[in-house]
Amino acid sequence: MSMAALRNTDVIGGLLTLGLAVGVLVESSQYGRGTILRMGPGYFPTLLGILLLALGAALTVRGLQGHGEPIAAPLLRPIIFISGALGLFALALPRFGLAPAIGLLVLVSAGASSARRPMTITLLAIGLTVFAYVVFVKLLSLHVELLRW
Amino acid sequence: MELLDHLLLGWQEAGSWQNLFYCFLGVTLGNLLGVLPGVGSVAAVSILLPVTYHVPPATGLIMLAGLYYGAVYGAVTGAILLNIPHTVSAIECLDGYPMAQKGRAGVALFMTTMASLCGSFVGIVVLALFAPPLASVALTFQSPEYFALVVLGMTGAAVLARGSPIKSFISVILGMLIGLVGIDVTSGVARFTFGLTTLLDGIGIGVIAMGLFGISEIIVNAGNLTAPVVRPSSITWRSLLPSRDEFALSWRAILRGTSVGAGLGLLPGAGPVLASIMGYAIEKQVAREPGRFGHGAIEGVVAPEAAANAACQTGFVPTLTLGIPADPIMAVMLAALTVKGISVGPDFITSHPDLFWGLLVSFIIGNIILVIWHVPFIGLWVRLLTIPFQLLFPAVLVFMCIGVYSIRQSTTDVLMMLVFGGVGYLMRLLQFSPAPLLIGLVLGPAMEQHLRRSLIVSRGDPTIFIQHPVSAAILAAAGIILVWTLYKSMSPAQKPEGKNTVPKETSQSNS
Repeated sequence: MSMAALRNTDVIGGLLTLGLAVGVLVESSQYGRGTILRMGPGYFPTLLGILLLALGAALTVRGLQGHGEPIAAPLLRPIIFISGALGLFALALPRFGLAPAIGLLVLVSAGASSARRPMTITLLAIGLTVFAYVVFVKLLSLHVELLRW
Repeated sequence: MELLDHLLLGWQEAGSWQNLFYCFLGVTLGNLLGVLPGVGSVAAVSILLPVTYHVPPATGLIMLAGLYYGAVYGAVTGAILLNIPHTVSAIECLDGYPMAQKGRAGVALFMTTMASLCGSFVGIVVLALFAPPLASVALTFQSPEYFALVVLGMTGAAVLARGSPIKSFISVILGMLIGLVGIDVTSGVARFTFGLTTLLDGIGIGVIAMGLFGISEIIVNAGNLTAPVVRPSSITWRSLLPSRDEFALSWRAILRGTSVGAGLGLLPGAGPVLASIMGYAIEKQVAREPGRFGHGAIEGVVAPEAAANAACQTGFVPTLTLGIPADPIMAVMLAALTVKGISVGPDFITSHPDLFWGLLVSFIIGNIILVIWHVPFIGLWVRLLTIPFQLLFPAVLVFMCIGVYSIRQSTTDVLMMLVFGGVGYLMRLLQFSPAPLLIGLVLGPAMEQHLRRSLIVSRGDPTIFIQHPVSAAILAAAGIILVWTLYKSMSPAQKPEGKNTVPKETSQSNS
């Protein structure tokens, strides 16, 4: 397989689908297929797995025939900063409370853009914390502490 | 007059102070999120999904629906002034932005508002007239008919989505598989949970929708630094008025767009995006000088807008009578009702007339509010467009994270949203449309249930689906659509319609 074929969206998508289909078939074989009269929990997922297998194969073949466009380069910078921001939010919220979690989320995610506005971003973080506290904690009575050590 | 009684009943529901307030809130927020780039209405509806848990079902539904059609009104503003292709309005960029460059932004904004109003009202009338009779027909449906309808809905969702139909079918099945995660209600077996206890209850649609559409949208747009071409001060009262020629060209286009949209909206899986694209294509066909299109032809702005709004309203017909969502946002709304213990099917209108007619009346109120926002207060929204996106997306992330967390007080759900953000972004890179996934997610469990029930009734004979005439007819329709699409995608000369003419999408929320 040439490099160009490997960068084709149809080929990559098709191969991923085939992999997923195999995974689904293996996993659902453990659920008990049952019979057509009494469909077991594995019956329907097995059907879906077979469909997925067929579609994945069709897509891969089409890709190898030259259909489909080359894949675009992933935007690494926003992926890294936004994943980091959400991860930190999830870690910080139960341990340190709402204010630090929002602060981290805003400051880290702002790094996804190349624009530098430290003052505005800080003000934004403070404003959003106040807003979130009033709306979610006070009005919608969400149980979360503002700050916790 | 039965209809009058129904409207009166609806007014009693929609006219309460609480519901008026939430209608106002819904359309205003929808409009806001439509105007602002890079949020997308599916993510917007999902952000507000948790709010509906705190209010009565009618109120929550009125708000979510308001958000939905409000976003369609709002999106066109960004399309005309900034060339931002929100999916619903992507097609309006083609002629709307050139109009703005020629100094006719005010006219374009005003006429699209009129087009929206016309499309919406006709759509509401169609909803009021068609939904109740369709529901009473559907009352006779049994499991085989339902199974067939679900198949038709999924086929529609896959075929009508943009891009390769094979990829869209994979998307639908992926959604169905995600819908299977959790404990199987019939057997009690935990499926696809991989030993994780958080997965036993399944994955919430809000988490999935916000990740697939919201997070991936932000990843795509975070680097964008756009600047508006129109100064807010240039949109004056006088600039809104169309010239005699512009008016003459517009009104027919609006009527054509409205009828196309109202018709298409009735099909399960079609939705406003397809309607606006069709509206544009038809205008180009009937125009005396098709060469004007792409250089600021007003018909190319108003017709798609009318079509999108009409489809928005008539899309509630299949959603509320059959329980088959017309697009991903409707899927989220159905899920919101299910949480409230209201199952949407043919008996929805008769067993919850206050909900149905209340919603319908709230559409009328909401559309009037939107026109008020867009005519006297248009300057406000234009000013909003000058907010840079790099300030906007951290704020959106905050709302998404807290919104997801508040559903189950679970930070795992926040991480799950991130996972689906990754899935959504990968799907974008590989050019898989994410919208069919949500349809599959909502319809998947229904499909399994009706398949199982039908086969029990028929004692394991799969020909039951052909023996029931209605289900046979519906399945045949799905089959014809399928064969036709495959035929079209196989014939080599046929490039997908509009592939080269639609501006590069930054926002695929609905496609």
